Amino acid sequence: MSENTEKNILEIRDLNVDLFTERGVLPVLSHINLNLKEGEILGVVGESGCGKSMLASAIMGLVDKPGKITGGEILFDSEDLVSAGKKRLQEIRGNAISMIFQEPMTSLNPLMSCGKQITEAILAHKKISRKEASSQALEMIRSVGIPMPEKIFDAIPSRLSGGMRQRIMIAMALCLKPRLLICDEPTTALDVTVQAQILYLIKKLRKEFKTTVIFISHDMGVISQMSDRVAVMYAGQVVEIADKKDIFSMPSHPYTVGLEAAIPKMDSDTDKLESIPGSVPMLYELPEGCLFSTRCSHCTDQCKLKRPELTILDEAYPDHLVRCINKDCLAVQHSS
Amino acid sequence: METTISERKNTEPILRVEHLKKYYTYGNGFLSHRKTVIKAVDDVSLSLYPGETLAIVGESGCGKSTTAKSIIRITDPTEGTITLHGKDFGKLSGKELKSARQKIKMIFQDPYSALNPRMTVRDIIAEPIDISGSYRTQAEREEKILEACDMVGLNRDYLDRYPHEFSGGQRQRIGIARAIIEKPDVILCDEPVSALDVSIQAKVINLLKELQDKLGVSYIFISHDLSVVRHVADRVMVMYLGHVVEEGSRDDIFNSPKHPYTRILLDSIPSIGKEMPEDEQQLIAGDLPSPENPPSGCCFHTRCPHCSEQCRNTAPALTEVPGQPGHRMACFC
Repeated sequence: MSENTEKNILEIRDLNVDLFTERGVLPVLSHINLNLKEGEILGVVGESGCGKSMLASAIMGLVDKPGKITGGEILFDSEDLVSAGKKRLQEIRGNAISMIFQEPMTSLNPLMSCGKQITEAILAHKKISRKEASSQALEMIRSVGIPMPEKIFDAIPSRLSGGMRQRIMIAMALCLKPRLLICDEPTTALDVTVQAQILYLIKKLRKEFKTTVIFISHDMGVISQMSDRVAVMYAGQVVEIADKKDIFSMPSHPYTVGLEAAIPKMDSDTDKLESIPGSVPMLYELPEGCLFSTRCSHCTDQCKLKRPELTILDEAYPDHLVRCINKDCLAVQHSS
Repeated sequence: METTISERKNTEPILRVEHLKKYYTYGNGFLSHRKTVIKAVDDVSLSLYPGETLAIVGESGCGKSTTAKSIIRITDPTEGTITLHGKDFGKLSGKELKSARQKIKMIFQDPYSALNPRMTVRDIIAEPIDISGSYRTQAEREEKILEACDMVGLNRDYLDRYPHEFSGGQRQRIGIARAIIEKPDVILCDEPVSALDVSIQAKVINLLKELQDKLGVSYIFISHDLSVVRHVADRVMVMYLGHVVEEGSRDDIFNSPKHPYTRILLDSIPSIGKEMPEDEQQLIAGDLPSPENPPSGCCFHTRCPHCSEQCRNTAPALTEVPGQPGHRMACFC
């Protein structure tokens, strides 16, 4: 995936989102820079409150009060979404970019049949007859692997199980063949066996529809199965981004290292789990220097003074970016 | 705290549950005489030995939480006996139940709703001893609170604060302090870490293990996360639709799982470096059947890749795997 001929479908440049609250202006996202190549799956991983869902909202143009995009650009096919008008955003949303949410029941209309909801989504963007739209909707329900699609077409969402509802959400998100699909924790509310089915389905369909995917999750295991590249977020910043195999074989930000060590592994017998000291700082008490400095075991005086930039780890790995001034000392640990 | 099977023959289990059943019934509207019965837990038996951790795993709706709630009698079981310290815990009531409950406690999943928002941390932690009245002076009460507080690593300065001032991990510590203040023998942990972020989850798991070493308490650890279970459990029980489908030591379950459901469950866990199956056939098909209308025969036959005619008609009994004492499963294969 490293050929230069591939063009970026999405470029986020220096994006800032602030929350305007009684406690002052709080930075939820600061200096986000991301590029997304056509056809890839970018995994975004981080703990609750790190800003991963806000990133999805910003791309969709759904940042609402008290939040506001205060700087930067989101270029989708070279068109800036931050400065785009409401009408233009409505054209793009659900059509060229669409999204799957965590809790399918709260994002589906409980009073409207599943088929009708998908039909409405198609009609909102395409000038075709209702009959045509509903036959397309039925086709879509079939392609997400729902048994007896004709029956489910007329069922209201509360009649369906969690896994089925999430399939309906996926059908709705993909019915207009979007070029970019954002999945915000799509399997967190599901059981493992159903999760495996849904993950498989997303991977299969994105091949079929040639969709680029941003896959947001807190689960490192899920991210490792789904992604081509992985971005690790902490307190509103991307702290590390690299190809999947690099991020797991040579994690270079102390936070990524800590996050991986904290997961109980199926193939190790350690008695005590590693944990990261402290907890994620609140947005109103962010440290002045590196955001991770309060919890980092490699923290030096310099870390406390200045926020580090996202820089290339090593000339040999131009795609592996890390936001840490001590990254070399961690890199040495890997090679030894 | 691994004890071998032969050692166990000499020790009495602290807690023994036999043929536990919990059925819920509800009417189909007020003109209908028909009642729907949901068998949330159907014939579960277990023994818990001193100092061990028994994990109950399964997907949502399999009856694992109902089992715990019935054991501690938050809801009374429909049938079955619960023996705690040789006493019939299931039949106790009033004062006797209150005093027996000093030895069995529970930790809940959601630390946000398990703590009363209008009580200070001090009062929350002290509530069990306030109810049982197991102190004579205020100084003794305070001493017990501080001891519990230190044991879970909670800062003493926080005792006069309210739950909303704490993060999820800290709240779970408060919940654990409340559970251990009376030094119970058994703690039922109902998904104690699933609402927490991974870095916090690791701390709570380490804390639970540390407390077990210090106090010798036994845990029934309910979780849907098999990698956490593998880390904490001595023995594991796998449940499906209210039934136990397989039970055994941790190594039995994770190294040589026998029941098709256990195997599928283990295969479904996404983990770092594991690739997704290339072929859809390797995934389990379908959803959990509705407990209102459970399948005939083996409860798992609707999703089982090895289902035969026999499975559709008769329910297999939980039987011991030959050559592996303590490892039992319910399958004809």
